[in-house]
Amino acid sequence: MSWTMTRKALWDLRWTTFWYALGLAFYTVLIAFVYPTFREQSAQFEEIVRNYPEALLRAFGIEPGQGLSSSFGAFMHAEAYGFVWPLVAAIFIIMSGAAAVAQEVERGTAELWLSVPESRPRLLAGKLVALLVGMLAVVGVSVLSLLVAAPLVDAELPADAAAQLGVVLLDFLIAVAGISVLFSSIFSERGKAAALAAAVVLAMYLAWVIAGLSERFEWLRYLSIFTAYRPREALEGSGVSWAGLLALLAIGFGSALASLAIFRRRDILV
Amino acid sequence: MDSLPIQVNGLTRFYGKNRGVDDLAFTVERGEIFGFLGPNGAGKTTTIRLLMGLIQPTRGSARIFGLDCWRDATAVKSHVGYVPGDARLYEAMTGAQFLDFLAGFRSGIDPARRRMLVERFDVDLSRTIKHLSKGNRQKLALVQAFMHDPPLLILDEPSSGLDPLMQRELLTFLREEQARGKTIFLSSHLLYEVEQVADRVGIIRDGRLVAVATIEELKRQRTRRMEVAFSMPIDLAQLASVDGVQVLQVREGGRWVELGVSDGLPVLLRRLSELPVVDLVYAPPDLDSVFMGYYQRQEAITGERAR
Repeated sequence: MSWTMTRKALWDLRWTTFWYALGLAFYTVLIAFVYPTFREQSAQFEEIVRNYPEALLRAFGIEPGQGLSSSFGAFMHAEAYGFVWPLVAAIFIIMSGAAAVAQEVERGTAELWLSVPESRPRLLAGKLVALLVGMLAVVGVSVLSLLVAAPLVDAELPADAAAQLGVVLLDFLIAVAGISVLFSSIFSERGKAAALAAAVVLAMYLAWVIAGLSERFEWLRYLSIFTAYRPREALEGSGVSWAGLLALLAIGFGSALASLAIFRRRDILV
Repeated sequence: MDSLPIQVNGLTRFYGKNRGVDDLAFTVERGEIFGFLGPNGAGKTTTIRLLMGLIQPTRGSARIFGLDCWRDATAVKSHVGYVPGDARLYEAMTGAQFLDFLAGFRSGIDPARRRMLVERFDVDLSRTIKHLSKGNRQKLALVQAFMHDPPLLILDEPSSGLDPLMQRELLTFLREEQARGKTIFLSSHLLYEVEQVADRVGIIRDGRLVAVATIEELKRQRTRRMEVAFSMPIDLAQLASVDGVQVLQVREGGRWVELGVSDGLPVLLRRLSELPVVDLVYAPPDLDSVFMGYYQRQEAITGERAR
């Protein structure tokens, strides 16, 4: 792997990472500060939620049977980590991952990028490490902000639950990043690579929602990374599905390895 | 590194059904400046991309110092300084950051050489690249190619965007590098540029290598255009009978003539002095004149065979 490439990629990602990390942390804290109001009026909220259509609840990552528990973990899951956080973080990762190769080709910088005595897989691996650091920063800042906010709103969030949440969020982003980089290694336009990666992630999300609504389509859950994305269990300290997390890692790293192999063989027509 | 700097054999690349280059074969000797001439779209950039391992050949091979340009692309690049045609640089970096970034991939870059190049090509390293003019970006691309002092330089239209003074400076620098034993592969569509520095040239057109010749051969074989206007129609045989002169076009009832002149200029001028000439344009040598020379030669050969 090329550390020179990693340093440059980190430099390129610095502001995007900073703003996404800050934005998601701010959102996390904002939602956490709503929690005391919710706790006081949880009965009314429960009533409102009970009247929502099942499909709508599922779409926002809320298991209809579970409702809105008054626990801090369940609340943060329903309001942040079930839908908004993964949506925003996925946008960050899809745009950054799709840029890895396709943007260099699109902007014409690939000719100089590939004129150095470093193999293509090592150059791309350098960028992937930088992307991983970016993901770690976004996840780390979010989890840290939650750890800071919890005691301020008289909520309990054990350190191991926060750590497990971090692992779940990071694994999810690794899977999305792998898919994005794979498309980036195939196409020569960042927009096309990002659009296709977003379409695949959206299709997986819809598959997961549909699988939860109908027993007939339950098999669709095996086609979706969202099946393994279960931040609520982590937040409530009820344990995480390590098999699911390993599946996410396998998708992420498998796609990344495939992108290295494709990039090694492809023609670069700037 | 005992092998030839560049050895190309049967090199062919198709883009789908479209031909990029077809069956190229040539070598570049150590310490030589090899001009690679051809009009835009002839296949020069495709050839260079094959040499730089950016694209895979459909058939044939390209070798640099004995290394296969596709399979051993990483090793090849440690011996090469490369300036792409229409070089695109990282816009958000300053010139200094850009050079530092590329230097990070190579060991043993002499800071004194980098300083010398920056001063010689008058490069502003403090400004971000997006604020640099095309000429200044090109100068930066040149510095990055020369700074690690490679034994082989592959330059695709290196004077593109440079002002005339800097173009001359570049050619002087290339001659100096040649004197230091460096090999230079210089791709260009500018005949006068290649003529000034190259020892040999390869001429490519429509993806095929038309000829490989020394500069002296090239000069002998090129045909320059001459346009002559007369005050009255003339007998064309007086001009056509001069060896090395060909009548290309006649207009205005014989009062305007375009000639192709490959030889016999003194005889032609003597004939013209006896004719009622009112205007004369003798075009500077350009790439078309070289092609014209080669086509005329090929036609002559074909004609002789037919007879």
